[in-house]
Amino acid sequence: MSEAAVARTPSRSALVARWRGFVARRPPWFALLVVVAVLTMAAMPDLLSGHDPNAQTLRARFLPPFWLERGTLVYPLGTDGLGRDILSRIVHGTRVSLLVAMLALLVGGVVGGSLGLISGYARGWIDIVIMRLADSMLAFPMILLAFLLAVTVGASLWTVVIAVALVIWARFARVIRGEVLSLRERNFVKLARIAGCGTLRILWVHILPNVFNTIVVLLTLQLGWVIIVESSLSFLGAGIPPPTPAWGSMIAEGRASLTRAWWVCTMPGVALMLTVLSFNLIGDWLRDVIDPKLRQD
Amino acid sequence: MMLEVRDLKTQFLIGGRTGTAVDGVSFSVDEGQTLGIVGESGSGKSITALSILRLLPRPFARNAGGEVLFRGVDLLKLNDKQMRRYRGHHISMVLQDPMTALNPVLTIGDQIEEAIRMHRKLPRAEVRRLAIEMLELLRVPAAARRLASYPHEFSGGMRQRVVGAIALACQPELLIADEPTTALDATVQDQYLRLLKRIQRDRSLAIIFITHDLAVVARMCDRVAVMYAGRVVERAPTAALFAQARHPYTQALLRSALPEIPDRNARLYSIEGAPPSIFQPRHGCPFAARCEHVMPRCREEAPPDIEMGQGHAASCWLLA
Amino acid sequence: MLMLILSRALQSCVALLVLSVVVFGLSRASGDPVELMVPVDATQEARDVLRHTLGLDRSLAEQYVTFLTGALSGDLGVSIRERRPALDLVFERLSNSAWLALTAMTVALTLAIPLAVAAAVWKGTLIDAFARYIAVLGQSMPTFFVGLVLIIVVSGRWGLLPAGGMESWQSYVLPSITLGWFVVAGMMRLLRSSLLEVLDSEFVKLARIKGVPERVVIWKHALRNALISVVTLGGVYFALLLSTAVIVETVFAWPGLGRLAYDAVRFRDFPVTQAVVLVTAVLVVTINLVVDFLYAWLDPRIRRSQSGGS
Repeated sequence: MSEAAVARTPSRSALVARWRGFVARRPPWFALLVVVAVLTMAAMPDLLSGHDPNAQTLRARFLPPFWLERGTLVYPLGTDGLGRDILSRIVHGTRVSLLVAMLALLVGGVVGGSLGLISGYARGWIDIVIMRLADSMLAFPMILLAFLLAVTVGASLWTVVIAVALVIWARFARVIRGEVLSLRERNFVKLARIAGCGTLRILWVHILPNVFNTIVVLLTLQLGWVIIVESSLSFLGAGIPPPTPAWGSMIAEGRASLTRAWWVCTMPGVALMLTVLSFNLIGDWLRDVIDPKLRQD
Repeated sequence: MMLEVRDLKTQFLIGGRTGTAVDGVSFSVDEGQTLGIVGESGSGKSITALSILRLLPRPFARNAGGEVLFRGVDLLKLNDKQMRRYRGHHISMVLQDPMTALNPVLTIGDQIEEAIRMHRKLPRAEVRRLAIEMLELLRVPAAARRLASYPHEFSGGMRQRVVGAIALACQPELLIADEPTTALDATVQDQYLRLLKRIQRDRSLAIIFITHDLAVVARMCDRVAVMYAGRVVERAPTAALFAQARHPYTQALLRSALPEIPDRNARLYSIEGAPPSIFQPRHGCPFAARCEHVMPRCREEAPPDIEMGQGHAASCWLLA
Repeated sequence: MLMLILSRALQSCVALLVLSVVVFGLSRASGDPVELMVPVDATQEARDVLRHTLGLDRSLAEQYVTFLTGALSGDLGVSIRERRPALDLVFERLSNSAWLALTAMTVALTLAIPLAVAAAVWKGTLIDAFARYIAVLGQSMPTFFVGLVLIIVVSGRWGLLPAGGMESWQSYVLPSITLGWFVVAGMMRLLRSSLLEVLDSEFVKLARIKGVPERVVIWKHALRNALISVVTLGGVYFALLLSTAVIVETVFAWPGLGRLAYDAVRFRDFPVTQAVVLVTAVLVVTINLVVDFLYAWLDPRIRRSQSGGS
C-alpha cells in the first residue's frame, strides 16, 4: 500500500496535492449563498412569502409542489393538510429557528466560555468542579432533560433557549479551558502577571482576545448542531408552541400525512438540512482558515 | 560491497511544489564496517536512510532515481512483498527517540517476538527464548521477566535497548542507526555505544550511523560521508576527515564542534545563515551562499566529485 | 487502576445524587400532583387526605428523603396514566431500547471503522473526500428527518420494510440505520484524525522497519492506539445515542425507553418521567464506568499506574 503511494507518478500526486489545497481553502460559495438566503428570509419573511403562513385555504389542501401534477406556482412547494402554503411557512419558520438557535448559542457560548475561562485560569478545585460538571453534562442525554424542562416549565421562546443552552455550554467550556490552560503558560501572560496586572485585566486584555478566534469558529461549528437540537425539541412538541411555524414542528405535523403528501414534512426538512449543512461547511472552512489547531476534534 | 547506494534521489511533493531532499547521493558500506553520515538537521540524512528501507513518508515523498544495491539486488526495483523480506531481516534500523518508538499498548515481548515471527517460522517457546536472548544481548536486566512489561515501565536508556533488541532480533546484516543516542544522557549514551560496538564485532554487522555529533563519529565510524542540502559534499576515512577536511562546509562543521582553543573567551564558531530550502531551484554549489571561500564559478556550476586518493573525495571548486 | 475505578465510581454516585435532586425539584416545581390525581370536583378534605397519604404535606427535605429511600429500594411511584409501578414500565421498555441501541452501534461501527481506516490510509484521495462528505452530511441531517425520509422512500414508495413498530427483524432495519447514521459521522471523523496521527508515529515506523505487512501495521499497531481516543469519548457518544434514541423511537413508534419518556412527559406522568430519567442516569453512569474499564484495558499506561491520574 505504502509503496504504491510512494511510486505514484509525479503528475498525479501533484494533482492530488493541488486538489487538496483547493478543497481546504476555497470558500464554500454554495454554503455562503444558502446562509445569505436564510438570513434574508429571517430578516424579511413577508418580502419573500406570497401568503400569510397561517392562512388556511381548505379548498387547497395537500397541493403538491409545482413540478408535480396538480401543483401550481401559486403554492410553489405545495400546501399542508390545512391548506397553508408550505413555502411561506418555511420562510417564516426560519426566523424562529434561527432566533432560538442564535440566542441559545449566545447564552450557551457566554456561560460555557466564561466557565471555561475561569476554569482554565483558576485551576485547582474550581477547575475540577467545573470540568466534572461539564463532563457529566456531556455524558448525560441532555436532550432528555431539556425536553423535560421545556415541558414542565411550559413551552416558550426562553425555555427552549435555556434548554438548548443547557445542552451546549459544556462543549464551549471544555475547548476554551484547554486554550486558556496553554495560554496562561505563555510568556506574555507570565510577564503581565509579573508586571502586576490584576486577574481580571489579564483575562480581559491578554487571554480573551487570544481565544476569540476559537470562540468564533466554535460558534459557527456549533450553530448547525444547535439548529438540530432546537428542531428536535420542536419536533417532539417541546418547542415554540403552535401556530407559530418552526421547522421542527412543521416536520412533526407532516408526519400525519406522510404517505399521502410526502412534501409536507420533506420540504421543511430539506430547508433545515441545507441550512445546517451550510453552517457546518462554513464552520469547517473558517476553522481551516482561522484556527487549524481545532482540526483535531 | 554489502550495500552500495548510487546516485540516490528523493523528492518531496508538498502543495504542488517539488523539492529534492536527497540529490544524487552515493556511498557504500561493507561487512563489519561503520559508515557515518553527518550533517545538520534537514541535510537529508534521515531521508536517505528511509529511502534505503523504502519507508518514505507518503504520499509526499518518493524516490526519483538512483540505485540501492544490497548484495547486488536493487531494492528500489522490488515489489512490496519482496521489500518486506529485507526489512528487519537483512536491513534494520534504530530510531532516534526511544520514548515514541515503541508501541505503548503492546508488551515489549510482543514487539520483539513480532520482529522474529515476521521472518522466521519457529515454535512459540523458541521465539520467546530468542526474544529473551536479544534482551540479554542488549544487557536488559531480568530479561525474562521484563518481556511482559509495557514500554512506559522502562527508562529512556532501557527503551533504546529494547528498540535495539527489536532491530537486531532477526540478525540483520546491516543496521541503520538514526541518531540513536541523541535523546539519551551522556553516561547512558556511552554504555549504548559500547554495546553497539561489541555487537558489531561479534556479528560483523555493517552499520550506517547517522548523527550530527562529530564526537560520536570519531568514536564509532570507519568512514564518514558529510551531507549538505541533500548532497554528499565530502567522503573520507574518519581519521583523514578529522586531520584534513577539504570541503569548506566540513571545515566549518569541525570548527563549530571542536573549538581549537579551549579559552572561555573564545566564541563558539557557528556557520552563518541556513541551508537552502529543498524547494529552491538549484544552481551551482548549494553551500555557496554560506561559504567563506565562495567564487563566482560556485554560483554558476555545481562542483564535481574530486577524488584525492585513499577514499577521500570532496565536491568543491577549490580543489579543482 | 483500582483507585481510578473507585474514584470514578464515587464521582458517579455524587453525580447521581445531584441528578436526583434536580429530578425531584423539577417534578415538584411543575405543579401539584394531587390536582392531577383527584377528580375535578373533589372536596378540599379529600384533597388533604390524599396529600397526607402521599406525604406531600411534609417539608421538602423530608419528601426528598422519602423519595430517595424509595428510589434506592426500587420504588419510584406508580404511573398516573397506567396505574402500574413506574419502574416496571421502564424495565419492560429497557430491553427493546437496548436491542435497538446495540444494532445501531453495530451498524455504526461496521461502517465507521473501515471508512475511517480507508480515509486515513488513502489520505487525500477520493475515498478520503467521500468520507469527509459523509461526515459533514451526517452531522447536518437531523435524525428525525433521516428517519422520515427512509419511511417515505423505503416503506412508502418501495413498500419494502415496515415503517414502525417492533414485529420482526425487518422492523430493526430502518431504526438502526437512522440511529447508527448519526453516530457514524462523528466517530469516523474522530477515528480518522487519530489514526492519521498514529500512522505518523515512530512506533508505526518501527513496525514497518521490522517488515510487518501494512495490513498488520494498520489493524494491529495503529488502530488499537487510535481507538483509545474514540473510547475516551465513548460516554459522550452513548449520551448522544440515548438522546437520539428518544427521537428515533418516536419516529418509528418503537416501544422503547425513549418513546416511554416522550409519552410520559407529554401526559405529565411524573412518576414515570422520574423513573425514566433516573434509570437512564444509572445506565449512563454504568456505561461510563464500563468505558473507563475499556479505556484502561486498551491503554496499559493507565492500567498499570497505581495512582491513576485522569
